[in-house]
Amino acid sequence: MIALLFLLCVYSGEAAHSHFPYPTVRDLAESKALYVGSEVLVYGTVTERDEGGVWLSTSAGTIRVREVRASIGDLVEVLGTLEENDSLVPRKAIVYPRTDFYAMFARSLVGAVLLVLLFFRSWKPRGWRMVEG
Amino acid sequence: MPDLLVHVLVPWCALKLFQLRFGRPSNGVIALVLLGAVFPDLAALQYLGGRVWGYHVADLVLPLHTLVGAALVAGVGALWFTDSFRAWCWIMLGVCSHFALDSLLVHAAGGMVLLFPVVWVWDFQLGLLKSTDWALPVVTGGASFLIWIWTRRGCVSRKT
Repeated sequence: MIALLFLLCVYSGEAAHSHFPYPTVRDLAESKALYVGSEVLVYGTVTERDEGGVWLSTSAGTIRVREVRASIGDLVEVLGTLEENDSLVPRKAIVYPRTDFYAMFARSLVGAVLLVLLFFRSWKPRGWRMVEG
Repeated sequence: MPDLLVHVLVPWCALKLFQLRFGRPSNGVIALVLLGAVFPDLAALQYLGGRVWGYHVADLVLPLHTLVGAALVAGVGALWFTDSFRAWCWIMLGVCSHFALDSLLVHAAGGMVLLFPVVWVWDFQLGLLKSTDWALPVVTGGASFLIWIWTRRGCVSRKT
């Protein structure tokens, strides 16, 4: 099972990116010019904003996203058409407020602690096996 | 993903209500389901970023958040229990609850690639909630608290 899982992971590492339906920041990092006029998926942090949109810091550099309202520090996921001058016209944009994003991880930590408590209340290790009780 | 708190509390609430009504499943079984409910989020290792053996970590760990990958992880986890097949079945119930909850989420594009490695379809999402939304954690947290109070009351009344 572990070997099969390992093979699946390697296969996914090899093939996942090429099967994704849209170019991502990883593709844009190699060449933005190649994707001008195409729909791309971009994920980044808001570094600047004005009335016309926001600037996102991504691994492919700074990209301007029009018509999106977000605060500095927020995370934005955008599917849109890439234009020249590193600007993006969004078709769909999801804004994750910064505080809510970190709160999600804090809640997850609480959830993990709760799981450990609930699990070891019902299961005890005996040798290499877990025994109910 | 909704946060782990939601993934743990939703099946806990459902199974506790079931337990209160029918006297089953046991707390041990509930713990197994909760374990399965967090297994697919081992894929959160992607947040570490970077590359391993030339592959992006996000691509490498993607199978952990698919049915087949989670079933294999559940299979490995179930080996630690005396009745491994029974444990695997309960863990898989938790895995299914995980994917049911994740299907509520909205993404700009993509979503879950549930049928990997057979079909590369990324669109398993209903688009109802953002992963950072507070509504679901607040509702499930409140419901869990009420059920916990109810179970405690039941314990006290049985003792007296």
